[in-house]
Parts: sequence; structure tokens; C-alpha cells
Amino acid sequence: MRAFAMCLTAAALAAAPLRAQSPDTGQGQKPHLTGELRRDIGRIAQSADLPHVPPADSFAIGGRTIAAGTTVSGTVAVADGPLEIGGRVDGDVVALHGDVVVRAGGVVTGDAVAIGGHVTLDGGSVYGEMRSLSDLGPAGGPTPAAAAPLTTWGAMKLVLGWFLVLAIIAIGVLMFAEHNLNGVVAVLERHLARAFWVGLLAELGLVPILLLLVVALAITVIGVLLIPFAIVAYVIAVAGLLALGFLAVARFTGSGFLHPDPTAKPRSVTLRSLFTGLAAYLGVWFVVAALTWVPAAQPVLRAIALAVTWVAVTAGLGATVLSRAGTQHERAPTAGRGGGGGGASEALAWQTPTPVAGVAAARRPVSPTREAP
Amino acid sequence: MRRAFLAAAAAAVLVPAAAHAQQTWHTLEVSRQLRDTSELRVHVQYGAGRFDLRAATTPVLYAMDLVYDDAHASPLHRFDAAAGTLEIGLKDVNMGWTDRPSDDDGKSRMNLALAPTVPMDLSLSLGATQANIDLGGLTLRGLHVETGAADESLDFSAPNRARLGTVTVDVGAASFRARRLANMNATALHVNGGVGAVDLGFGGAWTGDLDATVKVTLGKVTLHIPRDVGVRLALQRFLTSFDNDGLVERDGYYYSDNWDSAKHHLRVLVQTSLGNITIDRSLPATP
Repeated sequence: MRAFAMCLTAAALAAAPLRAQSPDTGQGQKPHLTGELRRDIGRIAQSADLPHVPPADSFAIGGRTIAAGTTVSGTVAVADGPLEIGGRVDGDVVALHGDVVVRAGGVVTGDAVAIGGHVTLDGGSVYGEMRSLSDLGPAGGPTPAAAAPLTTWGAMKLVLGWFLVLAIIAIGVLMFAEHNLNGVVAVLERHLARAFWVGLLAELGLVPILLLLVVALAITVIGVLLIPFAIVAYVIAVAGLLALGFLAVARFTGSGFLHPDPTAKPRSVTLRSLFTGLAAYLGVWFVVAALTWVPAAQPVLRAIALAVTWVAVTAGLGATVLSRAGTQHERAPTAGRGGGGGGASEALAWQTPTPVAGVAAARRPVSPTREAP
Repeated sequence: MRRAFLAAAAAAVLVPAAAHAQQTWHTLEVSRQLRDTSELRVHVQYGAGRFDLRAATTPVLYAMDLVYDDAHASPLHRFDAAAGTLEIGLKDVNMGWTDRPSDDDGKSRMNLALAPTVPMDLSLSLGATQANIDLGGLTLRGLHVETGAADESLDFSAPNRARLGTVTVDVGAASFRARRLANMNATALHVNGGVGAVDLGFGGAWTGDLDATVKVTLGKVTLHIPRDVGVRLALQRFLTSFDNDGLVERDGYYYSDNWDSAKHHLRVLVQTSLGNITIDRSLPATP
């Protein structure tokens, strides 16, 4: 009895490896089919363009071999291992996270697909298509729209959005800081070249000035505590100067495009000039955005747009610095002391300013000794 | 209040206008063993990136190697044995020009090999690509090439195994160079260019006469012709300079001095505006 039980046990133990070594090892041991693997298998149909994917439970986990002389009908699928074909498969073969190798004498009458692996012909034949995919692609289908690269239409919308933002800010400046804006524009009209060079120097000095400020504050204990606030205030101040300067340049540029209209109100002229200038500068960026679909042209176009914008910002910054943010308006030029030149303004320039209330006429003193003839 | 507005304006001006988002790149290799040499109509479609096409050196009907971003493109590989058609390449998910993405850092590419012994009618639709196409050794019975904004190089490194009828090349805003066009074994060549440079080399093995029409709206046309081939050139130009390299004008055409005695002839009509036409006859005599 004991011997019989031992024989049965020995037979059972021997049968397990024999089953593993049978010609078609599809019924061998099945490693664990994880949830992640099950989800990957569910995505194969879309990623691999393979409509007839068998259910996850029919995948041979760990690999499979179709030995020579054997024939399998239907789709043969494996995961996390290679699929070696020496026999005949009347259908498709799929390997997820593994290779498909078709040995000499092996035949696949359908398609051979390897995802995360390669399809290799080692003397065998595949009557259908052989496909090797690097991976399944992102979970949940195509990449979400938010992560998609900027398309041409997206770039154009972005530029239009910035134009609207700048337009709103420009209206705000006209309402609350028109005097400052006029001051900066006046400097641009009279000293454009100087404004550019001053702006260039100012740009070069932005960081050193900030460092000096930080060093100066670091001398005292209270100053050290104020450093973060000072940096923020400095950045805001510089941003304000740049914004004011750019809007002034936009208005200056816009006025050059428009025909002078003596009957128009000054505020209307200012508004039209400002918007025209903004449209001109953002128009350059709009052209760049409209040609996003031509990658070869992008570096050149962007360089041009950046150069134009940089020149405008630099000149604006210089004019803002020269005019003390538009608070200092230049006086009208006066005639030279040597005289010369006509004009009513020059003729009246020597006169003492007369008070508005007038001057009381003074009676000329008369000598008491003078008698009428 | 003033300063707040100015600060906001400054931020709006200074923030960069472009932004790039994450892309997901995949590699796909597709091939099919060669079993049948029946005639095939092949349509290749590729939007943007590097494109390479040549005759296969292994026994495959076609073999495609693709690197693409699946956010805006999906692979195309449809073979219909019964209808004798093959559509292959990369299909844009959003087809409009406004939806084309910005620079993909040069990762996108497609390498395609076609069976040299299968007679085929080949049609190429290329977008903004950098293309190297070598059709030498194929068996082409029809050829149509359409490119958008491309830098394209077309070569016939070996003679075409079949007789081609009319070859049509439509070039958009692009640079197009072709070499050894005599190896096409074609009867006619039409090149329609938009804005760009068209450089055509007529070297190779001449088996018969060739009629060529080259139309470029705005750009430069350069023709390289072997010196033993007779040339007759018709010009329709506007504000275009012409460097004729020894051609003689007669009856409204420009003739080479060997036109009457040459074994093979090239009849060319060139139409261009605001450009330059150059005829180069320094190519060696045909073998």
C-alpha cells in the first residue's frame, strides 16, 4: 500500500515536467496575470491594429513555443515572454512584451505582431503583415489635448490673446497714466536714437543695479530682512518701465502709419495710434504663428520677430528712463540769444510774462515846476 | 493704480508667446514578405519629418520603419491584395494646416523600402519633409510626386525596370533636386513648382527622347544636361535672367549645336517669373 502511494506520488511529480515539455506548451504553467497586464492586453486591439485579440485569460504568460509538426488554429497570444513558432498557425500571432520568432518550417498564415519586442523571421514564413511596436502608447487612448504640441491655430490664438490683453492694458494706461505715456512719447519723437542707446545701457545695468541694491540692503540687519521685498519691488518697477515704454513705442509707431486728422479729438488720435502700433508689433508675431506648420522657416521668422520686439522694448525703456517714466516733459525749444529768425513766438519771447489779472497802470510822476505852454 | 497697470503690461509683453507640450514618441516596423509580383498601386503619405525611400534589398513587398508622435498622427498601412493597392505612411489626425504642430525636434522619420521586382504605380504625398528618395532599380509604370514645404532630393541611381509614361512632380514652397532623370525611362516629365529652387539633372542611361516641362512661379531653375544629348529649349519668362551655356536661338527656341546629330533629344519648356534659369551642359556623355 505504501509502495503504491509512493508510486502514485512519483507519477504525479513526473507528469508535471512532462506536460511542460509537450509539443504545444500552451497548457503549461500559467504565471500570474496581473491587473496591469490585463489592462495592457485590453489596449492591444487599438494600438496594434489587431481587431481580433483573444481574451486576456487565453494569453500564455511567460512565453510559448509552437513546435515543428504541430498546427494551431486561431490567434496565438503570449505575454511577458517570447513566442517561438516552428509549426503552423492558421491565424494571427501576438506577443506582448516579447518577441515573435518564426523558425525554419514555421508558418503564420495571418499577421505577426510584437509589442515591446520584434518579429523575426528565422527561415520561416508569415503570409500576413509583420508589425513590431515599441510600446502600446499612453493609457486611455491618444494624448490629451492639453498636452498636445502647439498647433498653428493654437499659436495664432495665443498671439490674438496677447493682443487683447495688451489692448486692455493700453486702455488702462490711457485712463490712468496718459500724462506719463505722453511724456515718454515726446522723448521718442525728439530723441529716438538716444532713447535706444540709453535703453540698451539700462538693460545691461538691470542686473548690476539689482545686485547693488541687495548688497546695500545687506549692510544692515533691517536691510537684510527687506531684501526679498526690495527684489519684488524692483522687478515690478522694471516691469512697469518696460510696459510703459513698449506702449509708448507702439503709440509712436502707430502714429506714423496714420494720416493726421486735424478734426479728430486728441484722445481718439492717441487711442487709434496706440492700437495701430500694437497691431503692427503683434502682427509680426502673428505671421510667425501662422507659419508654425513650416518648421524650416520658424527659426528665421522668430529671430526677426524677436529682433523687432527687442528694439521696440529697448527704445521704450530708454525713453522711459530719459523722461523719468514720463514725469519730465521737455520744454519747447527756444530761439538763440543772437536773435535771428522771425515768428511771433520769437518776437514775443523777450517780453516779461504778464499776470492774468493784469497790471495796474502807473501814473507817470509829473514835475511841479513844468507849466503848459 | 498706474504702476499696477504698467506692471501687468510689462508681464504681458515679456512672457514668451510660444510653449511646447509633451509628446509621445513610438516606433513601428511594418513589413510583408514578397509572395506575389502582380502590379501594385502604391500611395505613400507622410506629413512632416525626415523621409527616406529606396528599393528593398530583402525579399519583402514593403518594409516601413516609422518614428512618430501619436498625439497628432497615426500609422497607415493598408494592403489589399485583391485590389492590388497599398496605402502606407503616416496619417495626420487633424488634417488642417492650422493644426500642424510646431517643430518636433527632428525626431519624426519614416524609412520605406519597396520591392524592386513588383511593377507599381507610385504616388507620393509629402508635407513639410526633408526627403531623400532613390527610386533606382524599382519597376515603376507610373510616378506622381506631390510635396508641400519640403527639401526633397530625388534620384534614380539605377535604371527603371519598366517604361514610365508621364512623371508628374508638384512642388510647393520647396527646394527640389533630381538626379539621373534619364534612368526614369520615361517619355515625359512635368515639374510644377511654387516658390523655390528646382534643380534637375538629366544624367543616366538614355533610352529615348524626353519631353520636360518645368514651371516655377518664383524661383531658380537649373538644368544639368549631358553634352551629347540634343537640347531644344522653349522659354516663357518674366523678369528672369537666363544663362544658356552655348545654346543658340532659332525660330523662337534655343538649340544645342548637336541638335540635329544627337542620338537622343531633350525638349524642354521652362516657365518662370522673378527668377533665374541656368543651363549646365558640363555633365559627361551618356554611357
